[in-house]
Amino acid sequence: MKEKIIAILNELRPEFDFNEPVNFIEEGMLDSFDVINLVNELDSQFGISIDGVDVLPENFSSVDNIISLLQKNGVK
Amino acid sequence: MDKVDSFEKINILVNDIRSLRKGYLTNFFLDKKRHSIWIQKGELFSMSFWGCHFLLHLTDTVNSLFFITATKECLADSLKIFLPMFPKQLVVDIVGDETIVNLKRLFLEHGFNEYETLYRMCRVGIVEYDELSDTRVDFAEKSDCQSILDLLHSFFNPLSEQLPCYEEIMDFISNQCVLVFREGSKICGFIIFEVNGMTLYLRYWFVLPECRDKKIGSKLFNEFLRAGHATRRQLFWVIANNENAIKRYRHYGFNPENLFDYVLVKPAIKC
Repeated sequence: MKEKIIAILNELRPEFDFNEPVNFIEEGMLDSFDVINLVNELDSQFGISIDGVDVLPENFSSVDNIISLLQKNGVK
Repeated sequence: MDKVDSFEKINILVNDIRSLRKGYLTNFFLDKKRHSIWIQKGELFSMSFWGCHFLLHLTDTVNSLFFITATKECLADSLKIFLPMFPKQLVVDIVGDETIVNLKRLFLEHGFNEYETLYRMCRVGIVEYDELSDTRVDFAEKSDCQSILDLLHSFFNPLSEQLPCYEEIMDFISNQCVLVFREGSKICGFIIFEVNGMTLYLRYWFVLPECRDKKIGSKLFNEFLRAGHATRRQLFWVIANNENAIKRYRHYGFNPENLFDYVLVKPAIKC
């Protein structure tokens, strides 16, 4: 799952290294526009629909947070 | 139409659409600082339909329409009901890659006209700037706020350039995100920008017409780069037919991204 998420992030913003252990939102690697696109891409690639209450920037601030979010939304 | 008085209300609208599990389309990209000012000033309203919520930012100069919808069809059905109820001029920004042309077409079918196209230009890499600085360039002070607001509203287009209000400019000034070039007490030019971690975002760059060809713009730009020296990506929106500006930006190493902002305007309905 981790590799797939990083591949999606790299597709979205190829100029950044998402393997770095930084906060993607605070570091300006993802903005609110990117978050919307990321939500749609995660929905499509993992066959889910992330809950609206979870569409918050902090849930997309690291690969680990995104994994937790996907698991919460039923991805194994 | 309901007044939006908290972010919680926006979250409820987003959640309502997401809970339908039919899709998610929006042109409302949360900007906590900016949108909290709109909420505080009582300028943000909502109107709800099945599968689609509209957010309206209503000011003296521009009425902007935002949508949060499940599908293009829900948006179309909602526009059909909503637009006859709103007789004033309305502006909508459709933002995305080339795939958003379908959404643009939908608004054109509902009485909107193409007004302007902007695209995002980006530069990736370490910031390089001239070590020498001009003492006439400095961070703006709070007392400059009204002058900067007046210049913005005199020389920029409020329909297509999403001009900040007084409170937003004051916030930029407080965060040392406004640089001015002064000759005596006169502001000859300014740059407004944002630094967000590794991203430097140029918002407005301006030099008075009578002060151009004096390298004021490049001096301001140099200090802007100095302020964002720690960033790795620099970006901004440019009007697509502003060829002079695009040429200048290319000179600084910026290239267009595949990201567009179609500004569409629906004229006021005449009674």
